[in-house]
Amino acid sequence: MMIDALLAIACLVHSLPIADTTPAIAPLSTGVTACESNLIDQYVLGTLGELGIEPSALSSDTEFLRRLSLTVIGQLPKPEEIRSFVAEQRRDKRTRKIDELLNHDLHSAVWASRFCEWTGNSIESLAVDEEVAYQVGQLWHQWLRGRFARNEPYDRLVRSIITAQSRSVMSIGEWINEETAMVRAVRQRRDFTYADRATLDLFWKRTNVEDQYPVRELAERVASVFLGVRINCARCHDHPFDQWTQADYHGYVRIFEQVRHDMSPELRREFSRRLSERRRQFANGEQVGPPLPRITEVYLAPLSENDDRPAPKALGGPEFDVDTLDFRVALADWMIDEGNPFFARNVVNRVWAHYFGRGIVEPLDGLGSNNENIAYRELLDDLSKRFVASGYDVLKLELLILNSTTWQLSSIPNESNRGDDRYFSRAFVRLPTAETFVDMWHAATGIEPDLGNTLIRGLHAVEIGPDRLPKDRWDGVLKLFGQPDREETCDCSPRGRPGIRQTLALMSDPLLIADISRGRLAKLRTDDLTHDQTVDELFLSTLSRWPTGDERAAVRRASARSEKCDSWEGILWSLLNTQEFITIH
Amino acid sequence: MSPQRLMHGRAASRRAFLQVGSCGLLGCGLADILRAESVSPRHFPAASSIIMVWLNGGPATIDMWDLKPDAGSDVRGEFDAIATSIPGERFSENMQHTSQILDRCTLVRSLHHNIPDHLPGSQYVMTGNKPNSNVEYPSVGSLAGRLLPSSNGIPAYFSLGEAPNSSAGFLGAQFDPFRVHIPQPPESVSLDGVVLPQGMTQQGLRRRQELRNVFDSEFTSLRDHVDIVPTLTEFQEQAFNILSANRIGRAFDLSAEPPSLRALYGESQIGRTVLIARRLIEAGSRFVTVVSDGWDTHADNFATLRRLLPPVDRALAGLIVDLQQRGMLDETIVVCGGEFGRTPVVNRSAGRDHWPRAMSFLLAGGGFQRGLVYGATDNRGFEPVPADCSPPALAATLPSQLGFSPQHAVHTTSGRPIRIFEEGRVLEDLVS
Repeated sequence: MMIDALLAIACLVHSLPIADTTPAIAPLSTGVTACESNLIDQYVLGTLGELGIEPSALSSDTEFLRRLSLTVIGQLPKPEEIRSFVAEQRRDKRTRKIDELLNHDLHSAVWASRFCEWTGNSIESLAVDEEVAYQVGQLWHQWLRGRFARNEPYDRLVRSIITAQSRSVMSIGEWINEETAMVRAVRQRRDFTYADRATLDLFWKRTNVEDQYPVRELAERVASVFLGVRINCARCHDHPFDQWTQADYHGYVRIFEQVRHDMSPELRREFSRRLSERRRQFANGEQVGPPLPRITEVYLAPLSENDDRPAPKALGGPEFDVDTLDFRVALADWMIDEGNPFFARNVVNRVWAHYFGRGIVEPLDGLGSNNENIAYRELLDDLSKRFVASGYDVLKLELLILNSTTWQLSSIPNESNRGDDRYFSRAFVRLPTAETFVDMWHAATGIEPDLGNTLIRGLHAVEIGPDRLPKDRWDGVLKLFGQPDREETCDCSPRGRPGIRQTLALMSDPLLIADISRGRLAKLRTDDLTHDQTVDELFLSTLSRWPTGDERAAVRRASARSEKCDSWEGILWSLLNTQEFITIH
Repeated sequence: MSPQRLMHGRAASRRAFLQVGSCGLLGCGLADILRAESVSPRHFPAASSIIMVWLNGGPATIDMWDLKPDAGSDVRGEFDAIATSIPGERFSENMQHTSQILDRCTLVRSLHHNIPDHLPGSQYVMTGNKPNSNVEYPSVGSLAGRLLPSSNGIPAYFSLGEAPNSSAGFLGAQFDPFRVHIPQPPESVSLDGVVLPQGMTQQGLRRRQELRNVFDSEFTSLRDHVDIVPTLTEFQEQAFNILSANRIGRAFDLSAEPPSLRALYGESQIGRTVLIARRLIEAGSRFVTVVSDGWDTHADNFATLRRLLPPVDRALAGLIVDLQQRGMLDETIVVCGGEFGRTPVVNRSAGRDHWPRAMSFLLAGGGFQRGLVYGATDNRGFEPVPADCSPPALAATLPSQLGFSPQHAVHTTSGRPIRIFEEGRVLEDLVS
C-alpha cells in the first residue's frame, strides 16, 4: 500500500530526536541514524489512511530542491546547485541539503523578514524622525536576524521583545551615549550594531495616525503575533464567536499601560544637565562636541494610584498584582509557562504555515477561536509539547518539518486528494512572499540586485527590514506582489492571493520587460554555449528543472522563426510568465 | 459594448456564476452569489456602474451648490446666486451648466460628519465606515469591483488620479483600483503594465503566449483545479485579452470621440478625464474615480474656485447629458463631492477652513430620484437641518443601487466575514 511505502521512505529520510537537549548553537544533526518515524508523518499519513485519501507521490529531486530553497532561504536554487544535487547519489542527500540550507546565511534573513512583518516593522508607525526611519527599520531586521542566525531559543527572543525597555541594565549616562551614537550613525547612513542590544525597544517606539501612543494596538499585536489570538473585535463588543469579552480586552490592555515612549524624567534631567554643561563650556570658550540629537526612550511609568478599573489580566489567565513592577514581565512569565495554551502552538503553527503555505489553524491568529473542526489539532498539540521540551528550538522544529515525507510530497494531486485543502495530502501550489518574488526575479533574469537605498544596495529583498523603499521601482513591485500591510494588528493581510495586476505586469511592464533583455541574456550572447546548453540554462534558472522533449522542440521552432536575440527574449519571457515559475509548488 | 446588466432578478448573476472562471477571477464566491440572490426584491439592481468625481481636499460646497446669499457678508462670500432648472433652488454663478440640469440630478445638501482631517475624513466618506485601526475598510469602488463581475477583460475599478483611501483594504490588493495618472497635454498617459509595451507587437505577444502555453501545459494539466492554478489560468487569459484587444488603450484614446462631444465635456484636464471615465464604463468597468486636486482652499478660496469650478461644472454636466443621450444614465450613477465642506465663515486670508459639519454631494442617474434636493443647512450653512445624511448612509445607498444590501457580508483575505457597512442604512428617500 502506498502509505506504507511512504512511511518506509520517511524512515529512511530522517531521524530527528526533537526532544533532546543539544545546545542551540551546536552544529546541526546530519545523516540517518536509527529508523524513527517522523512524528508529522505518523499523524498525517496515518490520518490520510483512515480517511481513505491517498497522498501524492514523493516530490522529485528538482521539485524538492526548489521548494526547499524558496522556503528556507527565499531564493531559487542556482543551476549548478540543481545539477550537483540531482547527480548526488547518497541516500541522505535531502537531509544533507536541508541542513545546508538551514545553515545558510540567508535563512536567518527569511525569518527576520517574517518577524518584521508580524511584529509590525512599519515606516508609517515608527515614532522616529522621518529621515532616519528607513535606517531604523533596517536595524530592526538586523536585531531579529542576529537572533535567528544563532537560533536563540524562541521564548528568550519573545521575552526580549515584549519586555523591552531602552535602557535595560545600562545607566542613564551610558545609555545616552550609546543612543546618541546610534542616532548619529543612522543620520550619517553608517552601520550601527543595534543587534547587540539586549532588547528590541524599537517594537515599542510607535505612534498612530492621531500621534498618540498606540497602547491598544500594541496589546492587540502582542496577542496576535505571540499568542495567535485576535482580540481586536472585543475592543468594541464582546467577541461574536470567540471567547473574549470586553472585560477580558480591557484587563489585558491594562498590562501595557505602564509603557511610555518619550523623554523619561531621568532622561530629561540628564539631558538638561548636559545641555547646561555645554552652555557653560561654550561660555568659557571651551570646545563643545557635536550637538546632542533629540533622543527618546521606552520606559515604564507607574499606573495612577486612584484607578478603580479592573486589575491587569492575561487573556484567560491570571490577574496581576497591581504593584507589579512591569506587567509585561508578568505577562511574559505567563506566556512562556509550559501550560500556556497559546504561546508554543502559535509559533509552531506559524512555522508550519511558512513551510506548507497554510497553517494547521487559519487564520494564524485564530487560536482563540472555536476551532473544533481543524484537522490535526492533536498534531499541533504534540508538536508544541515537543517544541517546549526542546527548549523552544525553532531549528529543530524546522528539521522535523522539512525531513517529513508529508512536507516532501509532490504538488501533483491524484484522484483521491485533488479536492483536499486541509489534510496536507499534497503540497499546496501557492505564491511566494513579495520579497522572495523580487529575489526570484533577479536570479531568473540575472540582473544585479539594486534596491535603491545606499544602506541596502546589493542586498537581497529578504534582507530588507523596512516596508517602504522610497523612490524605488521595487517598492511598487513589492506592493503589487502582496507585501502585507504591517500596520494592521491582525493576520488580515492577503497572503499568497494572486491578482491580475501581477499577471499583467509580468507580461507587459516595461521595466520588467527590460530586465529580461539586460540581465542573463545580454551575457549569454557573449558566452560560448550551444543552443541546447542555453535552453538548459534558462530552464534551470527559472523553473529549476530541465526542459522536456516537447519544450525543446517548441523552443527550436520559436528560434527558427525570428532573429536570434528576439527569440531568446521571447523564450525567457515565456518561462517567466508560466505558473510554474511564479509559484511555490 | 454595454456593461453586463443585472436587471432581471438575479438571473444574470447566476449566469455569471456559471462562468466559473470569471467569477473566481473577480472573487465573487458561491456564498456571495447565494447571498445576492437572497436579498429582498426591493434591492433588485437599478444600476451597474458608478463614476465618482472626487474633489480632493474638501470642496467649499457652500460656494457651489448651497449658497447663502441672504447671510451676512462674513458667510456669503463673493459669488452671486443663479437660478437652476428647479424653481427656488439656486447655485453659484460658477455652476452654469449643472444649474441647468439640476432637474436630472439628486442634490444632497445635508451630508455631515465630525472628522476635520483629510485622511480619516476621506476614509470615512470613501468607505462609508468610520475609520478604525483594526480594520482597513475597502473603498466603495473596491467593493463594487469585488461584488460585480466586470466584462471582457477590462478591470472593474479605475482611479484616474490619486485619491486617498481609494484602496481595497481588507479585501486584498487585487481589488485596489487600476491607478492611472492623467497628465496635462502634450504629455501622454502612461499605461505601463496594462497595454503592450513598446517594441512588442500583437503577433509577438501571441507567439510568446503560445510558447508560454507549451511550457505551462504539463504543470497546469497535472494540477488542474488545484489551489490557485485555475485562478492563475483565468488571469493569464484575461491579461492576454486585455493586452491583445487593447481595450484599455482604446478607452484612453480620446481621438475616437468627435470634437463636438469633447467640447461638451470641455477641453480641460477634468473634462478629458471624465470623458475617459465614461469610455471605461462603456468598455465594461464598474467604478471609475476621477480625482480633481486643489480644493483645500484655506486661502484665496474665491480666486481658486473661479478657476476650478467652471471646468468641473462643465465636465459634470457634459457627462450627465452624454450618458443620458447614450441611454446609459439609468444604469450609471454619477456622484461628486469630497471629504468635507468648508467653514461658512470666511477667514482673514479670504479662505475657508475644514468643516465636516455640513457639505453637499451631487448625484445623478442609476435610479436616484431626479430633481430631488435632499436636506438643507441652516441659513448660515453651519449645520444640516433635519433630513440629514451620514457618510455611511450615502455610501450604503450606492452598492444598494447595484443590488447589494448594507448587510451583505464579504470575506477578508483571511476568510472572516465582515458586513460591508457596519452602520450604513440605505437612504430610501434618495432613490426612486
